[in-house]
Amino acid sequence: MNDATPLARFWQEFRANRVAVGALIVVVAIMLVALAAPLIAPQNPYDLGTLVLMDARRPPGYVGTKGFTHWLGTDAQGRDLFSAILYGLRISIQIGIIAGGIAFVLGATLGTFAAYFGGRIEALIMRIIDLQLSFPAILLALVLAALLGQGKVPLIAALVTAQYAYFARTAHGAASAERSKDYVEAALSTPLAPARVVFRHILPNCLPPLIVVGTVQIANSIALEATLSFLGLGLPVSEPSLGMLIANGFQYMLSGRYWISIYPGVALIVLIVAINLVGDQIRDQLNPRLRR
Amino acid sequence: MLGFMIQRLLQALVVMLIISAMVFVGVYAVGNPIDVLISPDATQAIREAAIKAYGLDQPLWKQYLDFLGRLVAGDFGRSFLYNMPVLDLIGSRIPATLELTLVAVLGATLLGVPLGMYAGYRPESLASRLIMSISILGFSVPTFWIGLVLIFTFAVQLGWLPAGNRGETATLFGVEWSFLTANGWKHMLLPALNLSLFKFAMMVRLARAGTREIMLTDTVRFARATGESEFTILRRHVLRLISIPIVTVFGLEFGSTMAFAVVTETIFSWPGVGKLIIDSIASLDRPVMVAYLMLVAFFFIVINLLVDLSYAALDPRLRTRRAA
Amino acid sequence: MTALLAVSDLATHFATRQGALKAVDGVSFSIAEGEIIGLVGESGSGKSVTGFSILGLIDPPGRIVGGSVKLRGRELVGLPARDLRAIRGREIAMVFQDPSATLNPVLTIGMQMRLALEAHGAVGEADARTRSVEVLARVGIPDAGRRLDAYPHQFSGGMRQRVAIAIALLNRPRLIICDEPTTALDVSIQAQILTEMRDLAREFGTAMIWISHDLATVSSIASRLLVMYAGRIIEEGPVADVLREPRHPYTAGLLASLPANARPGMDLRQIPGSTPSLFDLPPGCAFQPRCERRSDACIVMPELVAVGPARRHRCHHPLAGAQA
Repeated sequence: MNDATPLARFWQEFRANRVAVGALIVVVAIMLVALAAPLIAPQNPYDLGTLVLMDARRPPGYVGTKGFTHWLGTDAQGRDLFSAILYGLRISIQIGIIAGGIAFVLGATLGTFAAYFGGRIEALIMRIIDLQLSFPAILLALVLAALLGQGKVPLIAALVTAQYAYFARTAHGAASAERSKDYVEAALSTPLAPARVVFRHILPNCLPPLIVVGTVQIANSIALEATLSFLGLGLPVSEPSLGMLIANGFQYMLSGRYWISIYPGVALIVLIVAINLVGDQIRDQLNPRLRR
Repeated sequence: MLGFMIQRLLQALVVMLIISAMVFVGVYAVGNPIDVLISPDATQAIREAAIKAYGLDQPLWKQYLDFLGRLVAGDFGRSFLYNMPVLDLIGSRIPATLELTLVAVLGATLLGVPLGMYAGYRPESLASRLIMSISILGFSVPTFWIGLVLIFTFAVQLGWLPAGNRGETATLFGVEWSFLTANGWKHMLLPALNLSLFKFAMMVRLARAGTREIMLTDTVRFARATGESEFTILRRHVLRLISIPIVTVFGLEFGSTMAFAVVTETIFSWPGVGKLIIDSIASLDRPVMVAYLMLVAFFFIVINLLVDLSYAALDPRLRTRRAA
Repeated sequence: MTALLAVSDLATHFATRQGALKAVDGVSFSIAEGEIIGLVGESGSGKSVTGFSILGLIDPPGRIVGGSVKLRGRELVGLPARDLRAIRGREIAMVFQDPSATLNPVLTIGMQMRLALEAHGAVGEADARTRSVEVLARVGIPDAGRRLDAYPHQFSGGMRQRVAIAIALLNRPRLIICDEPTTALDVSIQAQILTEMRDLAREFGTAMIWISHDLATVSSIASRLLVMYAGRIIEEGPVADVLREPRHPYTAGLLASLPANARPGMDLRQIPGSTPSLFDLPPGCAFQPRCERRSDACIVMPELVAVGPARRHRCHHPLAGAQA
């Protein structure tokens, strides 16, 4: 068993947790479904031409004028909710991954270089990051979204700003520990370029904790995006993400039309919970302190 | 100790300055500053008079100094939307947010810490697994959606609790509070529950992790060897040892809970500062935004300071190191 | 005369992924009132686990799987937690290796002593203080009354261990299990504490099990010696006899490797090879792969045979004197 590659061993251990495996299957399935949304969805919810106002706010199971069944009902514009959820998932995942990815790269670079250079530069960078971490991410994102206006780019910028600091601190912690190890000192004493040492030696060793933070942060940015959209600070109304669908349904919920808000919410939660469960298992596996 | 406090105060001052600069650049310099100062439907003559009066023809650094001067003097301008001094406006909304946040964080801590300790003490038991499942849900499910479900279940379907507003209030120290009336509590229950769930999940995790770690130490073994009961060990030894990270989080989370109250207040129409900031963002009421940001920053700095000081109170090792 | 404590066939195993780890596997010995015995072995020999097993302080995945521990004829193995707790600290106390890990860093030593007293019946605060000061003074803490309000980190290593010893003595136990209590201390303090402990034991008539890897230390305090190897006792006898005339080759090897027995200018004698992994014990005598006297007979586990009234050994080929 010890002859297996680290990755294979990791997978073997991962497989032992049935909940985590189930969660992973759910995550992959949702991603595939979201990716294939245009093929699966009975309707393109962004094409206003296909919406029929007569079909608006119909309960689940209603057969619309277009002849297909709205299994999850329709929203206030007459959108088929099932289609809207698929497309919404697509946007949520897309934004979550892009924002998480940029924050990952930005934070990891900043954190490792701070640890690498040390001294004043390190102190300054980490002070700013600590300061930012003590500030709630949602507030930061809220203000930025408000200042930058609506749209995908401002939204991603807001999410990245709110999240890169977590990566930076994690990378900094791991890199500092790595920096002080003998093999790095040895590598630095050779005429290798410092950047090479950082990328070839230090960064790879910081990856495990960064991956853990990464999974959590992708889930967080999906949730944060939904929250911002719910507050009306996210994407434009023409391309509703899950958060916006939920927000739009809120007013109808008080009159008992629960499905407009509830179903997109369920989709959102299943996705986030699944990602978190996978992340929990990865964290437990990578945390040496919990190992027996 | 005194030197330490002075050092921290100076640090706080520098941080405040940096934040004010950021807010200034963000809200004043990036946007058209005149929009911040006078209502958008003013005439051209008034606009020009205002530009002169506020020194907007001055270089940026001088404008920043003026801005700082006004802040120090407590002049945050007037809200366009409510047409009243921003400071008064925010002041009138703070009690609502404060009591909601306090109830939420206190509830989360008083419930979350014991449950988390139990989960860490007996990690394999069924109850612990249940506690952890709830905590994972609390962590994962976005606050706003839980709010919706709470309203749908308890207000719409069951009709047990109201869906919004503060309800009846009573006056204490010249301020209106909801927690003084039964009706106010009824109104506060759902939003407080909503707001506390995330913190509850966090406290559970923190207490569980700390307890798990400490239960394996020789401190606990030694205490057991002296014949102390498991309950005594948990209450006297473990609780004291995990209280350091918990107090930190309690403090820091109190701040972020106030920020998260933005969402809860919006859903439950709770008339606190969170709802105010959302309304002001939506209506571009910039003086309110500036004041809110500066206030939150100030608040955070004060909390950080308090947390640092309570560290010293809780950890005797730190106390002597600093006194030395 | 019945023994104060009689351990027979004690077996404590740890369930691991690689199967059961037999940390203690069939250990028997007894100790009389007021007697001091030494339990010697390398790390991993099961000596500490034996100590913890007596008090029932084995954490999962460890478990006492067999044997009995009788205190004045009363069976301790399988005793309900409540009854066991009443014995811990009151009848049998324990002192651990590293006082900076055993004492709770965030409680004053006065509080920790009070908790130890309260574990065996309610005591008033004033009573607790008087008792604590008494015992602290007795173990050589100067100015004990004032030091009661100090925290562990405010004591030196030796003083800290004295505090731990005071806590163990608080309820006047009949037996104290000392798990390498001097190993973490400076050599000069080691000797001091060793002497003091011997005097205290004599004064209170307390029996003691002194666990150590250091044959020299144990010999200076104990009157009887038990040598453990790979979870079993392999030799037993009065200290002077065992030192003069070891029967088991392992004991002989240990003695030869003592610096005091080295000739100037010559290398210290070593036992060849290393301690076997408990997962991978050789068949029969666990020491045979390292033993010079090994023969084919050694694949069968030798019994612990009594020779004369006080000596026992577990070897097919004992050293000189065994023929008697």
